[in-house]
Amino acid sequence: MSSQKRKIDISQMVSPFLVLYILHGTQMGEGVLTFTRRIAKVAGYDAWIGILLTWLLTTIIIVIVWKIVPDGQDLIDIHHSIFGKRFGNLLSLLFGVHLLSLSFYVMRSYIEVIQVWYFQDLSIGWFSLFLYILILYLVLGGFRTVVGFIFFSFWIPLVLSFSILIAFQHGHMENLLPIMNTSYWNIVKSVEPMATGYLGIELILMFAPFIHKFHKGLKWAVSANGLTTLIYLLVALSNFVYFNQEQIQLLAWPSLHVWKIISFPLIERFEYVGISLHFIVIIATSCIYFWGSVQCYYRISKVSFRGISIFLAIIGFISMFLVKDYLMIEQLSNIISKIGFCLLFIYIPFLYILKLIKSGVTKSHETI
Amino acid sequence: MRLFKKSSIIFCSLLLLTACVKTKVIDDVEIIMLYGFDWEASTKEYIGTGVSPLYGYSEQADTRENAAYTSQSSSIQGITSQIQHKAPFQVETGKLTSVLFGEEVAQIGISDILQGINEMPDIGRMLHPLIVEGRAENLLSEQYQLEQTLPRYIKSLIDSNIKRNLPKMTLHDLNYRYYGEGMDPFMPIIADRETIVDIVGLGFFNHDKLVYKTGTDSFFAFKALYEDSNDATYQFEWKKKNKSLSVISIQSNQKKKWVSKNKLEITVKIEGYIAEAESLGLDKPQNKRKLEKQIGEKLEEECSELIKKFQELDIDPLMIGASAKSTFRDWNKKEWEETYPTIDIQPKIYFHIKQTNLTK
Repeated sequence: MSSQKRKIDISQMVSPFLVLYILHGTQMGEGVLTFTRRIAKVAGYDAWIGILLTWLLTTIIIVIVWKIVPDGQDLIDIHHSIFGKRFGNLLSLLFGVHLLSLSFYVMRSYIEVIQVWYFQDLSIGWFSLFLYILILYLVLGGFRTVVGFIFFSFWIPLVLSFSILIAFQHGHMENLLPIMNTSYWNIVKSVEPMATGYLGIELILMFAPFIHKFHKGLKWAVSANGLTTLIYLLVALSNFVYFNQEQIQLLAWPSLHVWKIISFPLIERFEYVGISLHFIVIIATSCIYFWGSVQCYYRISKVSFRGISIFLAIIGFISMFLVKDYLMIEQLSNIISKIGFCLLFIYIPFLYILKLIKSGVTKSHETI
Repeated sequence: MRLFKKSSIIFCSLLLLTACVKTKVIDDVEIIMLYGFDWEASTKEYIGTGVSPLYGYSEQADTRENAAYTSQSSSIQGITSQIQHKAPFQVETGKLTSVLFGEEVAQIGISDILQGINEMPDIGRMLHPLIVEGRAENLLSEQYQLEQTLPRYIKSLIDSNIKRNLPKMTLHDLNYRYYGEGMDPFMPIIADRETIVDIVGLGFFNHDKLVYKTGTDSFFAFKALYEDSNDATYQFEWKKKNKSLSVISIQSNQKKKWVSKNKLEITVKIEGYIAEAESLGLDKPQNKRKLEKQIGEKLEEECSELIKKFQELDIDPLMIGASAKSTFRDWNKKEWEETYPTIDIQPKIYFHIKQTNLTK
């Protein structure tokens, strides 16, 4: 079988504690700039309760992921064992498309930010060409290189999220009152747009065999999820006290508008620093998704890793020109958020149930 | 050979180290630091005036000069691009310090201008929106004999006054009140007084239209109701003794308390020093208490007058609607707008004199 040929040896693996960095890095993408607007649209300013709810649900999903994946196997093996080879490969193919489109979306929406805030005349072609060369370089360096890059990107949102605390100084705390003024159902509904910010959990299914002693990674994954929640909560609360509900809907990137109040003698506008630093986060997020997608196709085909990555990079580069404006990006993000939601909260539990049934059946066969 | 290959790749990649966008040299940009807007009724267009300071054109000149570019268009972006036609260098607005609205344009409505400004990404949110008595164009095109450039002068004028009696209002605050429910914006009014620029009052808006103006004497009463102050001053006319006292370094705290759905108490706790207190006999406790009470009553009177005026005009610069919204669960905008003028709003002022002076 091909999986024998593509076995991962220890020199490609990383320690389990790095799951903290990888998962947090994947979750923290472009979404942190916009999610407050999206969740406030559904649940008003009680949406921060929705963040806590999403945190609970995603933690459960992470535990489920650890239950699904046995040591040394990934999603492709699981698909094979549950659905058989053909149908399993088809599902893996779709999963790869999802990862690739996420990688693409993160990058494209960031280019949009640069175009609006910095350079209206930025050429998408050249910019994304160099980005894809960089990503190819990282991905071809192997999983360890990608993780190394994520490790550096980890610290940036952590530091930047403190700068957003300034909003509390200028904000109106009464915006959050009265608590629970919206219906319970609205808060449940706000989980869907919020879940986009937690995407990255599904990627564990791809890189699981690259984690040395995978079973030890669970506590790190759970704490990564907690850290992500903490930052999201901080950003959401700061945005909510700083803007009122009508205002926040008019802003494309509310978090960037909060940065507008920070001003130093040398740097008139802090958001320019923030956006630039955020670039590293964007590259890391985009890169790990890209890697996941390449790995996915590599496992189900017989083409070389290098060949697939170059091919996918070309596809990504061409798609840059197909998404022309902000409206298309918004549409794309709505689709991705729906797919991501279904993937996390429906598909992964579904896989788990199937796996339980399957193991039950095999066990009963064995006893007979 | 391998070394050659490697170094040639590195060398070639150096050629790629160019930016993907056009360059901007700091000496070759025209930095617009003030924008003034007026309304031209005959053509139904906005007139925009951008002021940029001129640095270093002559070595002798002590006073800084400004260049004012005026253009006319029906939209804000149009004004910016028209100003570009008149300025010798590329126009940049990133350093904008204040936006001035002529009185006429403020009465007609500032919503177009506000939206136009909000769409410029390089503009900060801490700049000061101001109303100009008369026309903004006239104020901006005049040459003043100042130590600083005009934009910096206006900025420091407003900044230092905000630390004292002027209630804080930035572009973000303006947006917040403009878009939010249950609140209305206000702005300081400045005027061109012979050789310098002065703050002459506050202008209150109904959503986006200027409807009410007050003079400088009501600054403290409004500030006390509106926000906490740290270093304010208040001029108390003591009618009984025919004396004018000034209360200095005032610290005040305000709190809104809803007694019922139709009754609001705004409690303001004020502490301050009385300047020139020697002859008042404040060392006797009963005298001091008497004076405190009288000042408190006077302030309460001034505050109720302001509030009554706001309710009459149906404007809400004190953000009472927003406070109600966060207190009552079943708040809705329509109902609120009907009940607001009839609500009983009581200012409760507790005045306390902290008397220790340099001279005993």
